[in-house]
Amino acid sequence: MNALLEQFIFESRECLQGIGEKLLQLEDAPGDKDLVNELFRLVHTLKGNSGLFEFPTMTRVLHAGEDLMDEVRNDRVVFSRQIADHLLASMDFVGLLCDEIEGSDGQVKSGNGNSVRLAESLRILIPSRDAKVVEGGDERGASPPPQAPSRDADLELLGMIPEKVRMEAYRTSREPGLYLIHYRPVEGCFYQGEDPFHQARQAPGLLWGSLSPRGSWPRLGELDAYRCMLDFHVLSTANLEALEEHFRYVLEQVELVELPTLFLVAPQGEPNGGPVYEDFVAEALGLLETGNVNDLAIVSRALLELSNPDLWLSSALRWLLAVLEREPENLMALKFLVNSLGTFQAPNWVSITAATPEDPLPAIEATAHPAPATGPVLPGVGGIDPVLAVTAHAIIAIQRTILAIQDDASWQPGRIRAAAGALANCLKALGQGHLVMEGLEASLAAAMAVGHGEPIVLWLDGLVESTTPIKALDPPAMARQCTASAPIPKPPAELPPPQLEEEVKFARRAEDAQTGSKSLKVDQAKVDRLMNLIGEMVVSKNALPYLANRAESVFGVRELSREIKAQYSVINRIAEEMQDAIMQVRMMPVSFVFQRFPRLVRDTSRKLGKEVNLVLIGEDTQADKNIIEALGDPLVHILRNSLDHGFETPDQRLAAGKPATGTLTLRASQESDQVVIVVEDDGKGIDPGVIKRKAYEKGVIDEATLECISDRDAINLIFAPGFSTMDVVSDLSGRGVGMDVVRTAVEKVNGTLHLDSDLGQGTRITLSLPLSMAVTNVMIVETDGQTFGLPMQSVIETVRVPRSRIMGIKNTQATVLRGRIMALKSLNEKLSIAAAPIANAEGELAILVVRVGQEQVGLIVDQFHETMDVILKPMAGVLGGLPAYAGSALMGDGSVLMILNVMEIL
Amino acid sequence: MKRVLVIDDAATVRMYYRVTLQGEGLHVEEAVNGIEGLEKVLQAPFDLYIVDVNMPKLDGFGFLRELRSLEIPQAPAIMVSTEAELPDLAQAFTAGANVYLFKPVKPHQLLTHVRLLIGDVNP
Amino acid sequence: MPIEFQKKLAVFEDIVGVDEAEGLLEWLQKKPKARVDLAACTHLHPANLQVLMAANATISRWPEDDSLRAWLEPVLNQ
Repeated sequence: MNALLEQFIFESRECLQGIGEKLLQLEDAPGDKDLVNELFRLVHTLKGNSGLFEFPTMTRVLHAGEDLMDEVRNDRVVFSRQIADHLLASMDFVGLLCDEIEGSDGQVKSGNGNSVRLAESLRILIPSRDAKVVEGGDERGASPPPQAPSRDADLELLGMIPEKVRMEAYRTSREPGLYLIHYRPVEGCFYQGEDPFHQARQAPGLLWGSLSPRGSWPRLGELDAYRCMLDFHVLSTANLEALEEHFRYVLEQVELVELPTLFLVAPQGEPNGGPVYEDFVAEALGLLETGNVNDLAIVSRALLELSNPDLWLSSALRWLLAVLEREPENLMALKFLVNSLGTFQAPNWVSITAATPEDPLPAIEATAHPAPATGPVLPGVGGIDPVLAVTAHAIIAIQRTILAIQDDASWQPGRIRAAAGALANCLKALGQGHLVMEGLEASLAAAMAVGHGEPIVLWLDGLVESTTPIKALDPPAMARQCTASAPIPKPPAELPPPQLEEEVKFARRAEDAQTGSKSLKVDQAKVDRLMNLIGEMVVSKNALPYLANRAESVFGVRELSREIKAQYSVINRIAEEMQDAIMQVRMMPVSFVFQRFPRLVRDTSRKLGKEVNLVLIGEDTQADKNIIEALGDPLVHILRNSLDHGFETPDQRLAAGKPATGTLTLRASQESDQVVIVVEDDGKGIDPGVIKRKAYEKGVIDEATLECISDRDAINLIFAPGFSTMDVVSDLSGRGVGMDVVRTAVEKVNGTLHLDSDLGQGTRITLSLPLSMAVTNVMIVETDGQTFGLPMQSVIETVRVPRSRIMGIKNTQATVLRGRIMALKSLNEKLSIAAAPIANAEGELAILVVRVGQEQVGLIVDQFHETMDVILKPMAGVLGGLPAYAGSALMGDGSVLMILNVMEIL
Repeated sequence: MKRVLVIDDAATVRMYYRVTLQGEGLHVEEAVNGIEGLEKVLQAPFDLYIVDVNMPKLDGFGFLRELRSLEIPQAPAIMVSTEAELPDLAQAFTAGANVYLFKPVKPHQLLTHVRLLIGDVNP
Repeated sequence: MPIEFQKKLAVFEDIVGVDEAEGLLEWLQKKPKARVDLAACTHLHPANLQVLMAANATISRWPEDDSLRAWLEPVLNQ
């Protein structure tokens, strides 16, 4: 899949996300004009993009959506829940199409039926208009002309077509109608590279065409030749599809009028001279009465042969014969034609056909989109667009670097000339064109003479020093602003900051402002790679103090040792900063997870018949990417539970004296090194009694516990595995999956979950997660010759306890530490290592006091080693299933350290 | 009318450049690789080149080096690629590119650079 | 060249594009009595056509291309 398509999918998804958000916001604030306009713009952009890639299935729906939003923003339609529902459904469909496009590498095969249905469902919401005439052409939006006169004007237009052409068309056309095309290009169309004349000339089935000016011509001196003031008219025998296809890019500027072929029938010619054959008229009418068309044809032919062909009479006779030939059954038309012989007036088919219900005037096929925006309009500051100026400076800086390249490339002269040319054009763009004459040309000539670019470089540097308005900017800053070139090999020397940077912030185009701050879209794999490298660096640097010591103790080189240590602290500082920096890169705001909740709450609460208002606080709170991602599912569970079990129906709430609409609050905040998420509802709370009973029924607790368990603890029974108060599997809370799964997921990322509830008032769930998973401080221990790491957050202290103080109680060992009994476990035993713990020379065992939940346990190991920072990486694949290990970490010497999961082991 | 040569082996990308630039009133010609590009240049030089890096037969660097060796009026070249590695940048500028952009190039970005390099902007 | 400007005659040839319009406009302003020969013209960008119409230019010869002639004859003078 090519990058363009990827970009399209990415942007489309972003648009869809924005559309979803805005729609929900708009539901709460239907009068917000800004929201409506933003929504329109998003849909419009999305539609435009889909058109570029020719996905008509998608465009059709988006087009309908755009039209609907246009009606809303022009106050012709009031935004309602129904509209929101339909638009949401349509956008979901578009989202599915995006998935399909992505999955099938650019093809969209299915969905046309749905596309049409959805588009229709949207269009139905648009009140129909009587005169569905396009607003194209005149951008100031003149009111659409009433139908009848414009059809008369069309008739007039037709009359301008030479009779031969019309006759031929009438005779040969098999369609019941022809199309009269009024193409009124927008004034700025030339600037978009359009040639409407060519378009008109190339129209399929073209029989005839004409053009007309829209107004009177100004004097030549005031004429803007590039402002299109012409309308084009074409008569075509092609069908609607072919015409719409041909004019597809300018369809809104085109009026396609379907005319019955009958409209072509119009006698012309000199009315005076020649006899007035009243007798003939009478006779002809008589024949028509009896339906004797054959005879009518005979007599008409006879008369025609006798008459001067230029006469009106002859023309009318010719037409009579033509009609007799093509549609002899159309007695009405024949009648009027015959009459016209006497009146010398062409039949007015408009009024005639309007009058006869059997032959109604066909509706005008016109599409009514807003006129396309002309090309991007960049706001200027001081006459020069700031984005342009900033980019120009960036390009200038690059050219300087190119010119400074010293090699012996055979193509160097060409390279220098090209760079000089680029420089010249940028300078001109900055309004410094005079410099080109005043210095650039001379220095270029000098450069050509010496064979390298230095003269120009010197000239440029000289410019910078003499404080002319040109100040070359430092490339990395430019790169961030323009997302153009990345840092280049030889950056220029320190240069003063750009004075235009300020203006850039204000005068950005609206689109740029909307897509957010200066940011790079970066492949996650690259970030991970960077993180790994930094991790390795962090660990590798640890070897340096050790080496320093060896230098001193083994090799006796004290000076060297000192220097190594000094350098180590420099590297250490840098490594720590790098670590911090990469962690910052991985930090994301929780809004990433929160953003899907408004929709979830809306849909779920509706389904359950409950009214719930979702309040999101602290969406900007940041945490590591992994943490954020780990939060998603647990939170969804919690929210669903709350909606399903926590909130009462509006009636129940009112009966309980609460407002009918419940409030669900999701609050995120940062507390020291933790991210705290609180989910709070004002529902009916958890009934400890119910929980106790259920737990007892399910055998989670025994009778004794049932009696004496506190309310608080009872509530926390919810987290017991296999617990669920719903016997019926509800698809909303998901297959009876209990809160225990939620808790496990949270604990997997070293977080904690806490539950509080007041019966009748509501429930509060608090999630506490570490800010970053990246670096863990571990203590290294050794047992049976193997080293393991334990996260320091679990370690309380290290002690050495003589064997004599270790007692056996039942099957376990324990010791007394500071007046409290502490259970002891052997790490060997826990890891199923056969060996017994080894004591040291004094017969003491090394015991690591660790925290397990609320308690302290002593872990017997052979030896303690140092603590260090490592990048803890979860185990992948099969090993990931081993609960004993929290992960592994790479050591400075390349070996792998297994990090133990304390909770699991004990 | 100023003339731009677009060299990329992907038809969609060429089309994208063409559509975007034609809207600016530029005359756009296409080539699918460096060889074809050079052939076009030898017929008539252009006012701006947009060159992809990875192409069969002759890649962007090769094209640029050849282009810069010719005794013709030298016009600026924008090199476009998906790689973001430093060595490519140096190589690009050494070969004779004047600007380096990363795919996908947004229309606004493309147009700004084109306008500046091709000398169409009137102060 | 798409338009060859002689002393008092502008000769259009083949396809006359949008770029020519400005030059044509200037020329016609300087030489209001000049004439325009469209015989060899197969297409002209409407910008040029607008100039011709606004200037009320005199056409010395119509296009040999019938279809083009049909478009132009009603709106230009000979």
